[in-house]
Amino acid sequence: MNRIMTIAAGRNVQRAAALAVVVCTLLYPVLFPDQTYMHLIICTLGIYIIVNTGFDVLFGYSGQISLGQAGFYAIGAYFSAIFSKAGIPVLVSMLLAASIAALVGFFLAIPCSKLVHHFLSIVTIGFGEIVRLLALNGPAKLTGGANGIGGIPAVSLFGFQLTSKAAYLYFVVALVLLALFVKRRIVDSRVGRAMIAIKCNPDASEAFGMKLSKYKSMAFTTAAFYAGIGGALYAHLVRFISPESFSADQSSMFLVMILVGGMGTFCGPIIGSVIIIFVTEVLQQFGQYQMLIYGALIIFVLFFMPTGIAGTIRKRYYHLLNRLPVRPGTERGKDAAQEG
Amino acid sequence: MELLKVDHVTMQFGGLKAINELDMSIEKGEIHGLLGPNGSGKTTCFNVISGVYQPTEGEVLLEGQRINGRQKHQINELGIARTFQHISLFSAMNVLENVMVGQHCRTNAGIASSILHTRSQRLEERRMVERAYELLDFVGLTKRAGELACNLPYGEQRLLEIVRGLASGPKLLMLDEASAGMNSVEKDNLIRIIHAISDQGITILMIEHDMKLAMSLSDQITVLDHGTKIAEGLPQSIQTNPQVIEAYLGKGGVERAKHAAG
Amino acid sequence: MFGQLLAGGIAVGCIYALIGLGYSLIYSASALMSFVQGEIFMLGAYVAYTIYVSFQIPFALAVLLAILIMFGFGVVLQRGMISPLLKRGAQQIQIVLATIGLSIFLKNFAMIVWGSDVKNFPSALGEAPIRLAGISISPQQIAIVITTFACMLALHFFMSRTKLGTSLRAAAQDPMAAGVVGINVPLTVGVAWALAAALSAVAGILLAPIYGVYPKMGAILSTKGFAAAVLGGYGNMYGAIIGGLIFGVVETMAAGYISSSLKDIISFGVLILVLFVMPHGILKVKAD
Repeated sequence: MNRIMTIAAGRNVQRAAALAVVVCTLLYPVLFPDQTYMHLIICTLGIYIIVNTGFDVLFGYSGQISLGQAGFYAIGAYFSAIFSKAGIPVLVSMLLAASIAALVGFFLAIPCSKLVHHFLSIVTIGFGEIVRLLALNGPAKLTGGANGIGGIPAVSLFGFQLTSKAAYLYFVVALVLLALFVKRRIVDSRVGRAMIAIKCNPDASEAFGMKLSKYKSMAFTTAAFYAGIGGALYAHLVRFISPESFSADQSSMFLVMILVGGMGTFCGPIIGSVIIIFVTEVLQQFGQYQMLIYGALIIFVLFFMPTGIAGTIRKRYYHLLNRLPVRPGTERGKDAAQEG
Repeated sequence: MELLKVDHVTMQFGGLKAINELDMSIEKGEIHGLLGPNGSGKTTCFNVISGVYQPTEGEVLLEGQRINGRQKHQINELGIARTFQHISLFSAMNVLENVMVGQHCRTNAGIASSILHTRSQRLEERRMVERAYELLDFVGLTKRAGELACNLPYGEQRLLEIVRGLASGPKLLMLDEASAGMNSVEKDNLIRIIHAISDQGITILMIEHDMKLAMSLSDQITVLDHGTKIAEGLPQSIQTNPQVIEAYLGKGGVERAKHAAG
Repeated sequence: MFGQLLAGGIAVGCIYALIGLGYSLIYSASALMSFVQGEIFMLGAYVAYTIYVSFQIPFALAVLLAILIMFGFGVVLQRGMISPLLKRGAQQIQIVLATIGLSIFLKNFAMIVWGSDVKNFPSALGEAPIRLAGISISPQQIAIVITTFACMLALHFFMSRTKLGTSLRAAAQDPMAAGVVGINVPLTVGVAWALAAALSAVAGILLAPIYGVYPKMGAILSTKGFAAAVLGGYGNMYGAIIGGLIFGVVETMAAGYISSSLKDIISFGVLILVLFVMPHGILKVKAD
């Protein structure tokens, strides 16, 4: 196992593996053009990866429990639907919707940064519920009430309408890559380190110049934006949304995904999303027993991998997997070339 | 020149006076010891200076400027760093990252420049890594750079806390029982390190329980008992001060000490 | 109208208080959050229903048996799931997730075993409303309030006058010190979880005659009971009661004076605002 991990830690190996995964995903609709259901699943997977990547910044890195991510997801979906149906170009609608989600996240985050543990969780639960209820009971002309909003326009890219799930897949994959890339940049930086420090030891963090509310709200806003984008993507994928999709069950599904996958890691949200989607799809054949097994499975995973799959692996093989920044000046030739 | 002044500070928690009208002056560049039996208010004093508590009465002045009432992270920016009585390293991060985080107040890359990987952000990161390694060299922890901070042996964790404090480029470094749990070899090393820090011009305020260490290092010593200052001055005068002896050994202890001395 | 709403709000608030009490007990005894109290509430109602209606056991005995069974369930839950998870190094959030997993399991278990239809739970007190000072209250609502306060008194007595109760409080404040003086801390933790389960079951049995018994009856209560506990200052018994009553009254008033469909928005909104102003809940027990 050590040997496998040593190989897996190699930068080139990781890049090759990532490239392979992306290429296979992109080739799938080409090789299997009729499997539209699978295209839908892959799109949904991509959307969840985006949401969970942002959620991981909030929870895995800055340590804030949120059980209401579905609220931001809903804001993204509903606002994008409303804006695009009102005639605003879809891509602009999506960006606007995600920005609104981020703004809400920002305003929620500042008072939330003073809350810990269960106080924070009940506020986020309450927030998620309020958003869902507003969608359900809000002005019917705007939100469609219980019937939701239908006929949501498809994404239009360079003149192409992305109506087929296969076409949408390419769009989603591109955004997933962007989302992962941005998250990497955030967490591998001074800002990311501050977030981790705050999670580990808020008192020591403050003693070392980190303003808690600043970084906590940064993480919150980021997670809200990611969830908003995810929601908007969802709206233009299935082109019909209703309040049912944005309940507390959805929030807890996001939580299950990042916990099973492993928080505070790069691959964790990806692995978790893949596993949970796979499990729920496979379990569908069990009809009534589907959710029963799902609940039992959650408990089962927690028994054996409390820090999630990626988390457990990272912990055990930390000294192999962790990439320490090279001491500047020790590789003179390389450094000179990089600076030039 | 006076660096830090604790001006008539009282710290009251409900009915308990943890610190009682304390006046303490720390000179720039000196190593100042803060001694006293358990519960005498030493760590509380640190907490007041670093902004964890607001003093019930009195003020804390850094280079003449009032710092009580400021937020904790601002006080760090102004030049005060500390270690903690119970080790407070960032357990999810490795040794190098802990030292890099210590540099937070001296750096300023924000989320935007981090996402965009601007040239200034990249240069700043390089500088932080370089400085972190230098600091680790200073205490001999370089070989541990990639290890998780919580996996280090206890004595090295204490050194790491000190280095993290240095990383923030402080004017005043406050050490809370830095030698606790160290063996004599580690303590000798610590003495060397503290001298080296002082040689760099950094003022040190240290809470200590190891008398020998405190006496040998300190230029000045303040002794607290039950929140009140009972003695202050050069190490030699503190050593023979009867009130100090009584505070540590109790009245009966003083008698026994006299007896033992013959 | 105000009096009517107040009475209704107090009754609902008592249910929230009972569940919130369970949360607070669990938190003070083990510093953990449990998200399954709503499903225990539901299970308690189903068990009572089965014994009372399906097996035709007399009401008082059926209720007693149901409460005892759920008390045992609480013990099994703590010993069989929570404790082993903790031994494997689970943190608070993993326990939260485990209870979420269990709640999903129990909800669907109920659906399979009893079906999704609403079962009618006949009230032992009859349906005829009682008129009191111009307000019309159902006997069941009175039963809810009386039972809740009886439970609170019993719990208070238990906590302050019995050896086990005092041990529980001591272990809650400082498990290590309690262990040192000879208190069986694991036992007190088990008792706390079991009591919480019993209280949720009592709430379920109290509410069943009003709304019937169905698998999803616990879902929203998990959240609202939790809200009650947090509002009052999580970990504080009396806070949970106050939180529950406030939450119930605010909700009922909002439904009555503003709009029934907006009542949850308003009550959660009030909750959030209160917590923003008082980050440690109304009765300020520090969340450590």
